[in-house]
Amino acid sequence: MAIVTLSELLGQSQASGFLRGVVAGGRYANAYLFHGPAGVGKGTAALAFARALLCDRAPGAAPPAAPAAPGLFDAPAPTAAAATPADDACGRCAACAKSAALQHPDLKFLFPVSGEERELDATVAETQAAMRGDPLFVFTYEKAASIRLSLTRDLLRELAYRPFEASRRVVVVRDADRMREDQYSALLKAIEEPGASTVWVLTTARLSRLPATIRSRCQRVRFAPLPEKLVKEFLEQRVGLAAREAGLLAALGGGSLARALAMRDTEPLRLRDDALALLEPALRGDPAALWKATQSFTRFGRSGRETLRRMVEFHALWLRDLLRARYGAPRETLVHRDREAEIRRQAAATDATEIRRRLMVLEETLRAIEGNVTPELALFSGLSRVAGQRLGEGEWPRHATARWDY
Amino acid sequence: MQLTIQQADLAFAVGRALGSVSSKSPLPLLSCILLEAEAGSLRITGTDLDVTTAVTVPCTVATPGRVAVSARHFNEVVRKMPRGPLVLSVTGGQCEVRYGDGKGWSKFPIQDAADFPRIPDLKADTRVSLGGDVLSRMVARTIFSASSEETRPMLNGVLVQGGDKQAVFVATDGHRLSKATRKGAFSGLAKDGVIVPTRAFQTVSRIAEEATSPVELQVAGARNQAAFTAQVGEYRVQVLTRLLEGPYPNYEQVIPRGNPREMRVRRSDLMEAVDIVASHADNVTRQVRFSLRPGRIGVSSATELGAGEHQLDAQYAGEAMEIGYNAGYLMEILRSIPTEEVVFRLNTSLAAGVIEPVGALPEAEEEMLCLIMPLRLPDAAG
Repeated sequence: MAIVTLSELLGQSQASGFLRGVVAGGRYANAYLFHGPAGVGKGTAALAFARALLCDRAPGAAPPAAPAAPGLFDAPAPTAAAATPADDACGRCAACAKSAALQHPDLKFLFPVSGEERELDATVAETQAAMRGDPLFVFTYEKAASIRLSLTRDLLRELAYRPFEASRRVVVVRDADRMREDQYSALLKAIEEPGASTVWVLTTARLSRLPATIRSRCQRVRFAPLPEKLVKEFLEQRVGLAAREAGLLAALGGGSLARALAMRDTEPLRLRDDALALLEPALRGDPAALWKATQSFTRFGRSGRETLRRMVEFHALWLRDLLRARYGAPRETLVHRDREAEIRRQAAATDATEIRRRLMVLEETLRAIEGNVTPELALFSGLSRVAGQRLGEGEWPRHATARWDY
Repeated sequence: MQLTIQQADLAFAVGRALGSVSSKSPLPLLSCILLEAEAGSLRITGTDLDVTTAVTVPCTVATPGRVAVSARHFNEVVRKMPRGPLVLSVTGGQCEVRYGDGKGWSKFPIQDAADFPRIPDLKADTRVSLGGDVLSRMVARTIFSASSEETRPMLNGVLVQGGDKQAVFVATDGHRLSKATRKGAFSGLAKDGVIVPTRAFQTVSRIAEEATSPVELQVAGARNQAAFTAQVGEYRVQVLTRLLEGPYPNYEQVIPRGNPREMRVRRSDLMEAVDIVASHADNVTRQVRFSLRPGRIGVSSATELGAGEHQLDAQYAGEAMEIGYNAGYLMEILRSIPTEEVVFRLNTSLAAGVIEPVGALPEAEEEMLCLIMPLRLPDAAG
């Protein structure tokens, strides 16, 4: 998540166009809710919008300095130093400098954190420093990460005052679905208060987890998944990845740049080969070997769940390739194009209904992993069923047979 | 940085600046005061980011400079030092103060002054002058009614309104309201006013009492900051505060105009009665009962703590009436009124009553009014 301006947002032309219209129009709703899949630029857009609202729009003397490092969701650098824009942060005034460093006193930025309460200040400061220092910074949360009660309390205390120096104050709440019920209630009044000089920007990838009371008080802005091509280009040009790896990551990201980026240090190709190899024992009809193989992946410890999730995703992508190949897609559209021959062979031998059945199995496995099912068990049962190991009546635990009977 | 300063001057400045330093703060620098030496003067600043006090005192500066030292510690030592010139210097990462012609010295660890929160420049577009005594009186007559609850933050301060004819100070917490006005031209202040936090006014009124010059009030163009500047002898004291976010409730609307019943009473008698009787009152509600009869009133209270009643003479001609009040609120109101007699203008035992001074206040240009909501008595009907 980088700190950029609205014009530098990657993709999301509809959302950024709307937001720039809002800035240019100068009339603001009390609260905006940015929703859409994870990792497509909602948080980046929220900060960019906040910066545009706080900008002094004073034509500074110094031309905009070239960014030291290209940002996460930013488009190619503008060619000419444009005149001070009316619909975006100018990037030159004192307010813009402060908001770019997350130091603007009227920009309140809340995000979920985990860890000890007494180390909260340090954790928040560390995260902000990481955001400032690394334009490719990606927010990752532990399961228990939440927007802390003490932070919302401080925020409410601050809201009692007039903004410090700007004419309005912007509160950005990242992943606003990670709050407790009573926090929403506490914020409700502040969010809906008319005439207050505060603009709220909430973001969420899980819209349904926000209480209706909050949702109904916000103007919604939808964010779409990023086109694969855009993500791939970004990975090649900004991160400097090889074309093949960038393509794989972009495909795996499923329109989410953050997810693609999070995977870039994990040797995705090796992990993919490991994952696909897992299916071998299942296809041989050797559950014992499959069980042993899946268990070898529990060594990842805390991140094991995440690793297993990715392995399932590789399988899903493989099946997607099979479907594409069945319909005669050219080589360059395949994610696993390095194993094209294998794909074409399997595609010819498997009918589309069977591929869809397997995809549904994998989808359910993903849901199970997201939930609290033991991940290696979920992977084991998922792969068994992908390989067609339909066990006969009475062989599976009874309570679950209905759900597995695709 | 090196300078020579009188102990009394330094102690005054440090003591006043300390008033704005919060006792516990997330930023270690906020428990410090900033010392800035420029040609001929030393400026000492303390802040908790909401309220800032800066005091400028005269001194002889050899080398200018800026340094931050722990506020409490520095104050404690400096105020005990003997009167006379002190030599303050920064050497080897420490702030050294020598006193008594070389008889003694103290050293204080210093913090990097560059990180000290920058005090924002106030782009003031309005300016109003008020006598120090006037300001402290207006504040004293209203501030006790301000709320301390966080649910309605705009009530945690005093509303200050201006106009061509008068300046108005108002505070309320929803149970009581006090309003003080002073006639005069205060057009520098907007009619819809600004809300000054209680804490800022506590600091300001202490300085206003000592002030030897009128207190100048400036409000920033964006109505987010205000500054109070006054001269205390040779010292220049400035208190900067952030302003609270409105809108302030429409208080004129809740002040009843035609309350039919009128009760006049000697203020000191009533205070004595309430004070004694309230000793028996419930610790939470502080409820005392007023029994209004023609010519007299009875103040009583009865709880498991005990019971008591106090009769006093009053000018009351209406029909008999029972009404309950919070003794704490009532005492604060009575204490704030300077006249010998006060008048209660009442309606029913559940409606807001107005308490006003009888006759003119000692200062002819000033007026005041308090409003108090009664408490529902256990046996009250409807």
